[in-house]
Amino acid sequence: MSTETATGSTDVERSLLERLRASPFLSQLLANRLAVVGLSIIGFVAILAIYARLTYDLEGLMATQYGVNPAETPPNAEYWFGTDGQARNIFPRVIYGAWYAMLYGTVTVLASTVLGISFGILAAYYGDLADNVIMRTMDVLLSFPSLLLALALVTIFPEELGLWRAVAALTLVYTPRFARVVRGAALKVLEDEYIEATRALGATDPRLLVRHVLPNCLAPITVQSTLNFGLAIIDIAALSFLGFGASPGEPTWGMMLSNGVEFGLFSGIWWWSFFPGFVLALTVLGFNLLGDGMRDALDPRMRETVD
Amino acid sequence: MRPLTDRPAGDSAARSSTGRDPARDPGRSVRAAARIVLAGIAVGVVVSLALVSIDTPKGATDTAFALGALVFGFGLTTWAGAVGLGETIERMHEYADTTSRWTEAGARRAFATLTWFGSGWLFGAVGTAIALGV
Amino acid sequence: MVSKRFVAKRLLLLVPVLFGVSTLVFAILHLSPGDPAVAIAGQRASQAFIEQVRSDLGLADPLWQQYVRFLGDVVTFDFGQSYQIQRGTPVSSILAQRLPITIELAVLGQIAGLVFGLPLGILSAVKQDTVTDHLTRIGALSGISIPIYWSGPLLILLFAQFLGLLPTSGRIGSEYFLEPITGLILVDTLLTWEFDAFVSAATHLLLPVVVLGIYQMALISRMMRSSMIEVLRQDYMRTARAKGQGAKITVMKHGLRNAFIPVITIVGIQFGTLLGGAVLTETVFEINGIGTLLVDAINRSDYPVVQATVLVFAVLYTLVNLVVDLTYSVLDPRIEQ
Repeated sequence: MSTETATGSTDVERSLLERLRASPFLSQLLANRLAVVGLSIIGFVAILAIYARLTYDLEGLMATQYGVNPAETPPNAEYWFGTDGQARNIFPRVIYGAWYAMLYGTVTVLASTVLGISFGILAAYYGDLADNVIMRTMDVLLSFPSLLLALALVTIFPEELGLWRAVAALTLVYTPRFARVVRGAALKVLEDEYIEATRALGATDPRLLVRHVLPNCLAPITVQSTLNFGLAIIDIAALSFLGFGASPGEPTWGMMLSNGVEFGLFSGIWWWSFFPGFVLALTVLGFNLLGDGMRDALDPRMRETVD
Repeated sequence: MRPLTDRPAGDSAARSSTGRDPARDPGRSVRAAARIVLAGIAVGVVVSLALVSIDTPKGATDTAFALGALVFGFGLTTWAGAVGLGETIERMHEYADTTSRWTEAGARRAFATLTWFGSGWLFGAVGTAIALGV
Repeated sequence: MVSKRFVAKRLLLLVPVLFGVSTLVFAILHLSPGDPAVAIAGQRASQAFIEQVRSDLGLADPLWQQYVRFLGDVVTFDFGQSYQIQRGTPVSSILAQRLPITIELAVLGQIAGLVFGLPLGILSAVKQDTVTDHLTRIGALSGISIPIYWSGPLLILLFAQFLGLLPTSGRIGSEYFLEPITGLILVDTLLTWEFDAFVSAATHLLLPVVVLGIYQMALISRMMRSSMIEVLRQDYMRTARAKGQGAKITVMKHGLRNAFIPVITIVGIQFGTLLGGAVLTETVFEINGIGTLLVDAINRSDYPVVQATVLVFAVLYTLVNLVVDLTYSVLDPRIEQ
């Protein structure tokens, strides 16, 4: 590698850094009150999740508690969210559900981001054949109904995987969105003249991609991830609601909702499904508020690539 | 950024990568399709034989056939989707300005290739199944 | 204008779509770990009995023979008999009975979403950055954040349990017995002039439609807002505004038309979301449409029902997008189909 290339790319890096610093993204985001509210909700739920994971004993939460607690008690000072049909205290279960939602949501979003980045950059960089096959497939997959596609995919994975089945299916469902965002952003970067210049100076392909394309995709990817995180939480719970995923007794929001609606709602035990659903909706709202604010704060050039 | 509404330009771009319009030269496109089908047959046979080492002959050829059916079915569905929804998707990109170089013609070609390949794979798996006496 | 050739071409495309989708479903079902023979025979059945069931169903044959037989059945619209859900009943008659239920729900939900979503989106765009706009946006954002399987129970709780105004689940009061004519319950009750039954059916449908409609409304109003803002930024709109009220109204009409176009496209592509929502709504309200049918069939490895239901979804999706494209060309005469 020649010294010229090295200085060339440091220059580019410096200008990138400056651009980042000068970018009004962060200040605009913080000025958006709704986005800050969203961020606070997410932070709060994340703390709850970690607290639950560290303090509660999962076995105890899953086991039935006949004789220990009264069954089907309405919310009161001792059982804040009441107890369910198996006499389990609902409050710690809902809190522990936050851990599941955050864990499974993070894995789903991370996995589809990584897959999407790989496909998107490959398609944008190598063009023609790779682009044709990868992006056409992604585009058509995008026009498939997402919940129905997830339902079809979830059956491929063995039942023993539990909720990871839903995670795997949804990862595949979300990947096209990320691939499209990354490809759109990468194309805009690759069209820039300085990439041409770097390439002419002999920078190798992987270097180019990692150094220049990736940093430029970061902002739209983050926005897409945030919006998708909320969607992932909803869809994972939807799949367990429909009976694909969580095993009985597992304190996930989807499972609690499903049991609460099936066994409690029509006999007046409303708190069984109300509280898990409330916390779920609040968390999802947090992600949507933040994601929306981030999109508005995004550089307009990149805004168009996020849907 | 090439304007996405400019469909003829997209068509000619799709054409230029093969040198000429495949539709105008049936002999050539048939030969190209035959090559892809042959490649598919080879893959179908190889996958079946590879699976035989870890499964019964019936299980192996069944799985190979199902995988081929997956490729074939996906290719066919997406091909039809591209022909039918192609314009809708182009329009969606145009609206969202996501600079996709999507053109209906390009998509059709890509998925037709996949379909031919998948059909070859199916025949490869069936051939192996019969040869193994399943 | 729309040519007959265009419509014919799109309808003809249903053939490869169905061929492809049925092949895909066939492959996925085979690759999935569920075993219908075990499901039918029961977990505790002897190995010999399971094998017996398997060969009776023809599942012991080489897969390619099963595939050829399956294709032959699909071509003749014979989807076989249900393994589990209504054992022995032809799948086609199960579908015929259940499909109208879902269509009724989905169409009403979509209409509700459009009727409320479009005006809200327009209002939000015209009053951009005012309190109205903020409230509408937060409302829409909450609408897509609240999952159907929570808003449904919530409304049941409020209107059925606490207020006692509406029924909790099902399609019609148990005192009415209705011989299906079209299968669309609102239409059937009107056709037989049973007004009480109609009211009963309508009150049963109200909550499910609202639940499905809220989500669609949220989606549509968001799309309409951004589309409308785009149009309002155009020069001709600004000029018109500067010229005063009269011109503003004329151009609003013109602007609206332009703003509708992208929204219509997205509504078509979002039709899948609507079907997914219908699956969840039916589950919550215990409505026996094809949504609950699909979920049951997957859960119980009822292969013939899964295959047929997925095909029906594919046909619906294709047809809706055809209708959307036709609407599109009516709204935008520049598009030559």
